[in-house]
Amino acid sequence: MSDVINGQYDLTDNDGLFSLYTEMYGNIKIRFEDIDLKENGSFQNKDTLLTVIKEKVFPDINLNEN
Amino acid sequence: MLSAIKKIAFRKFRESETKLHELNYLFWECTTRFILGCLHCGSDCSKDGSVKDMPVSDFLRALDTIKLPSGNLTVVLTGGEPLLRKDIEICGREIRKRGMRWSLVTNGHLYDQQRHNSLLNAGLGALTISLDGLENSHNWLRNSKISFKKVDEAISLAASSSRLNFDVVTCVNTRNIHELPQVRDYLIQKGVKACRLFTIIPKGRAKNNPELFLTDNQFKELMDFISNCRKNAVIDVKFSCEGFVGEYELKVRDSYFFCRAGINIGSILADGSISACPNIDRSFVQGNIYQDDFFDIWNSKYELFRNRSWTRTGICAKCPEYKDCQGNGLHNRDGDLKNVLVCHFGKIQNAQLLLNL
Repeated sequence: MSDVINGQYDLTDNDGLFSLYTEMYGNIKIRFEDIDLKENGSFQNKDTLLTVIKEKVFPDINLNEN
Repeated sequence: MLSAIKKIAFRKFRESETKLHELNYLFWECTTRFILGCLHCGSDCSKDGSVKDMPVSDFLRALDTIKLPSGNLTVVLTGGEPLLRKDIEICGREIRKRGMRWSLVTNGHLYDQQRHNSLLNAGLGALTISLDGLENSHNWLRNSKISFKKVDEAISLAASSSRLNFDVVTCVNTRNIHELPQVRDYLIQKGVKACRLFTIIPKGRAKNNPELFLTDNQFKELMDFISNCRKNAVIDVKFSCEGFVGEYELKVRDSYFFCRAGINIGSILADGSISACPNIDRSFVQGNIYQDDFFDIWNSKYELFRNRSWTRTGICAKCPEYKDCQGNGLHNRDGDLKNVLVCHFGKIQNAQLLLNL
């Protein structure tokens, strides 16, 4: 996953979890990309805009399988 | 007249800060291992890592003794070279979980795109990178043919992040003093917003290398350079907190000289020793986290740091500037406590005398 504005990125773990600290903006655009092809399943890319920004944000995102 | 009032007000402020002694910076010397054999190193770095790296959990246990930390508290990870540790990010996240900020001091050698990203993800808020001149002078001081290339890449990465409070520190010596204007232009071109300049104290590995120490004239030249840079503030150039500089105070930094070691700055050294700035003589150690409660020590000891009257000896005894200098920065003192290793004010006075001859 990557924070589109700040350019930070992270790999999700085996449970699909990730966490990062980033700069507080009015909103945060997060992009999910399947970078390991069929390994660990095959998913469609997805962009999400987080608009309710508090000190901690816990987005719950479902990715669609190909 | 106005200047005299400002000075008196600042003395009062310093007195009140000392009484309050709020911990604002906590240095953790997270390793004494290093990659380069820098000629100027004043710390106790050892390539073989004879002092083993402290486990993160031990450091966090000490951090957790800080009751009601100040909202300004920043933990500064330093070394040796902190990026030799693989668990810096784990530690950084733990610091953030505790509501504190954290920063890092590095030579940039291991600071690549991947590390930049993982450190930001872990909540790195501020970063200091050492650059010691143009390519030849930097590589000479760092004792490495590729150090400049590495630090150049690291500076580009760090400057690309709007989030990082990023500055460059430059150790000024006889080899690079004449290239400071080019270094400043290079930093501006790289998008660096702030640069701190410091000189070398004759201790550690540096002691026996005369090329590292500025003459009195060169030191005055440095003050004039900083002072001129600050007149057109394309980049925030300042002199470090290392010493009192008389007439140049307020011309070379934002506020009057104030050595905050042990007043707002504490440290936990690689072996668990509790001190102030990590480059202060080890004889100033106040305790050890493996035997003592860090915050108890912070609150109940540090007498030498908070009452500096003992520094009024040797050349400081009759100095007319003592009220504002208070014996200079404490890292200018060694174990015998009797004399100051460098008097910055004296260097400027000497240079002025030579000019007037």
